[in-house]
Amino acid sequence: MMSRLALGMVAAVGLYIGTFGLPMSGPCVGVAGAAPSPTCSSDLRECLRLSAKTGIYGARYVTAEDVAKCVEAFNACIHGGASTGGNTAPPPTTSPGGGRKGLPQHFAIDDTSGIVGDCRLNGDAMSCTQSWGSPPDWVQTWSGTVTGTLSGLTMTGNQKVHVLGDAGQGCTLEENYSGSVTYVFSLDGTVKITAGPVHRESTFSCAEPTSGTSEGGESQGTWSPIN
Amino acid sequence: MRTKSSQILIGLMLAVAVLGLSGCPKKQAVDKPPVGEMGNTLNDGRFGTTATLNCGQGKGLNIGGSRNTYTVKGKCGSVVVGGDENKISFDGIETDLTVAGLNNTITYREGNPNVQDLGTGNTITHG
Repeated sequence: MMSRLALGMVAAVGLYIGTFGLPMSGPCVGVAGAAPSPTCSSDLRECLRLSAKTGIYGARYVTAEDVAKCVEAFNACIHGGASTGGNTAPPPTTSPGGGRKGLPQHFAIDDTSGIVGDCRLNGDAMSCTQSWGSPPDWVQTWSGTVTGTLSGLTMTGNQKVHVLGDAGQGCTLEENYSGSVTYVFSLDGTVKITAGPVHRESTFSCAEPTSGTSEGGESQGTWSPIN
Repeated sequence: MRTKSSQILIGLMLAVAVLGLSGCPKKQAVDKPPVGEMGNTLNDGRFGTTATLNCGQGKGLNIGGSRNTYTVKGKCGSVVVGGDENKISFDGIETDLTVAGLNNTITYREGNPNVQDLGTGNTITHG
């Protein structure tokens, strides 16, 4: 019983690693999905809406830095050749955003934990193949996939992760994670990632299997087009 | 035969392996202020605030918040209003006034800026 409890505790801690590489710090504020925005001005409003935060006394605000970034993207949009009314084709741009509407058909997502996603858009269907360049030493293989639907600048979908690892003493560990994930993309090349709840199934070669569910967490990453 | 102590050791090894990673750095980051000047442009992301701003001589001004009542002194260069339901009174705007938000009421006394109303429900008055 004690050994099972110990391994169960470890597996729960191991969620830190395996759960999409996101820190399991509890629920953070997520952002609801955005409606499609066909004009530079609606893109600006959307950028500001997505950037809004809530202060410690409940007051809503956007940081000055985020205001500047949103307006910079807006100015690039309206000065890039599109009409001010926005009912024309999006102008070409060299920004990380890849275009007035933001997302190209093939792009990379890099979160701060070192997990990189190779993502493709087919209509509003988005799919990513994930890899982790520098996992902890005990991780032998790590692979992840994300599939979801893009609405405006928000993708809502599911993520699956498979981990094989060395549990020491000649034992191996295999874990499968699954759960919901939301990507909220910004025109400045950043992306807010919210994952959870996350379900884990763990199989040990030297002990009985365990499973669990955790809340997930939030992190910030960057995205860039792949040519 | 695996002993309880060895299984606990396995657990501790895994715990040590994972605990070396950081926590939730983004959540622990210090929030940046809603008002700041960058590159000779004032950026204001407040909501529901009554205040006096000052463009001095030609500073730009970006309003990213909503439901504010602002009196803006001096002569602003380029102004972008991206928020909604703001009531803003300017001494003067020299270059551009671009309103992308909704239901803003804006007046400016001096200047002949290039005015673009890209939102809806906005009222822009010169004089």
